[in-house]
Amino acid sequence: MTEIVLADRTRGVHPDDRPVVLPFYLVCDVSASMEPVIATLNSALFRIRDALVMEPVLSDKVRFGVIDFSDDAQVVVPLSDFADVTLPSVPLTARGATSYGAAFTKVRQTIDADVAGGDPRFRYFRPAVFFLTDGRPTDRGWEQAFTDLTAFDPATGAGNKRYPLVVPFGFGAADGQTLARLVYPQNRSALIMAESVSPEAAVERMTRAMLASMLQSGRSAMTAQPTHVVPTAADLGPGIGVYPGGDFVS
Amino acid sequence: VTAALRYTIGDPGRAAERIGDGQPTPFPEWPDADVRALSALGLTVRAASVRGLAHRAYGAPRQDAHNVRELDCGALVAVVCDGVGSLDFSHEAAALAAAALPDLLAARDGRTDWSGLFIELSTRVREQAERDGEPPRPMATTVAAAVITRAPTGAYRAELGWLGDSSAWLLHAGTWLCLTDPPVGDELTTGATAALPAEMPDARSTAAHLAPGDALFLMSDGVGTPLGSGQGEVGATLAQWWASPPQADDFAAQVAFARRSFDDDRTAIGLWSLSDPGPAA
Repeated sequence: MTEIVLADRTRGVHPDDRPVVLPFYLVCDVSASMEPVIATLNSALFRIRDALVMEPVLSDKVRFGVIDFSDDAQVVVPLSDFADVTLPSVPLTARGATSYGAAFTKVRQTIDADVAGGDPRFRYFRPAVFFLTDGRPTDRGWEQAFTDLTAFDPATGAGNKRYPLVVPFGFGAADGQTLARLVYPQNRSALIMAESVSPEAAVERMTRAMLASMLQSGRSAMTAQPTHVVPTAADLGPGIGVYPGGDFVS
Repeated sequence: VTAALRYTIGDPGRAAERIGDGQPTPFPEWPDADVRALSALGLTVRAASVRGLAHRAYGAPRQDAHNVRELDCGALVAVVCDGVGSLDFSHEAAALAAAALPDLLAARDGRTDWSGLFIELSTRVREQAERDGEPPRPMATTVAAAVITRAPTGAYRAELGWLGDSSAWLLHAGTWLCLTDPPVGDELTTGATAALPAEMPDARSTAAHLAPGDALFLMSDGVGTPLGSGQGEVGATLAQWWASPPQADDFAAQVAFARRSFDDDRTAIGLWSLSDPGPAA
């Protein structure tokens, strides 16, 4: 006897019974040049986890995952209820070069797996990606990987309908002109660029701004109209610029 | 802190388990909960407004309010107001609107001229905001109200008026029927204002009949949003709990049911037409 099993895991779950959750990904450059700030980044992950534990109202609605990239990209912490997560003692370690393309390809695969194959109890809001880097891309073809991740035509349905909001964070040798191209959608995101602060201070403040963004976005999910709250200049403090999409001048 | 969860629907969520009673608010004269139980016009009435988990967690006041009053003309007024969350004094707007609407209806002998009523209510809210001079204290509220009358035949008719995302429902034979339109993002598309005060309140209205055994409900979105279309787990559970009128304290605890991610203030008024009451005297 042949039985056809439908793969739709949301089948039988009434839309009323699927509360909204907001997925966030930190996509983090771990190329060799990041070595001096890796410890700061790792402690930031523990801080974000502890902050979400202290914010049960918001951690009920926020999902967070961590992807690192250098020559290749890997999921370090799967998208999860981050307040409950057991973090590796040293989540991130530095290695290799800076392949933006590997990062974008992995982000797309991960979002597809997390959202389409994710927990059917939830309705996923559009994911947001915090893309943190200290360097220029060392690979060719990253532009195509970014287009594959973000391009979507609502009229025809062509492209990636689960495209994320992308918020690039740059410091060190990162190039503002390049990162400005990663602000997505251009009218709803911003480029965060360190200008006159140390790399450690930049990572410290940028990760705090990411947490603030997640918490404020989570707060908006208490209303019927969730929205992404992008970090502002006030969240970042002096020495770090915030440039709305399409507005970068340098 | 682990709260004793009296009523949960599905996964209660971490907030419900961890927050408990929460922090005090800057407004000690304004209680966390307001509960009513009464009979009027042959209807059994239960009403509760309860501070939500998010406001408990952050020490903010309950911004929902309600009122139930029988007018001299014989009509029964029920009203739910939900203060707009982003404004610091919205609990005052909700309290004032819930208190004032029955007065305004009494002055009209129960006539439901909703546009006129909401314009007057808007003026009252604005006066309250400006009471202590400039700048006005920021406040706004939604409103959903029912004016229920009983015909000589014993049949109940409810005139419903609302503004914003508070809703009215009929619980008929275990099934939820939404009487108000489902909330849509009309701020973006029409520029209509969905809260008071407003220059031109966009009053919406409809009417409904209650058959014997039916119950009419008014709700803030704290209950209406998890209820959704009324066809999910929340709809089934509330329909079961509220098939007949619970004790008042049970009703308040049920209105405050725990469910992951739903942490807004909660208000519901239930009016049960228990059985054929026979012709009115």
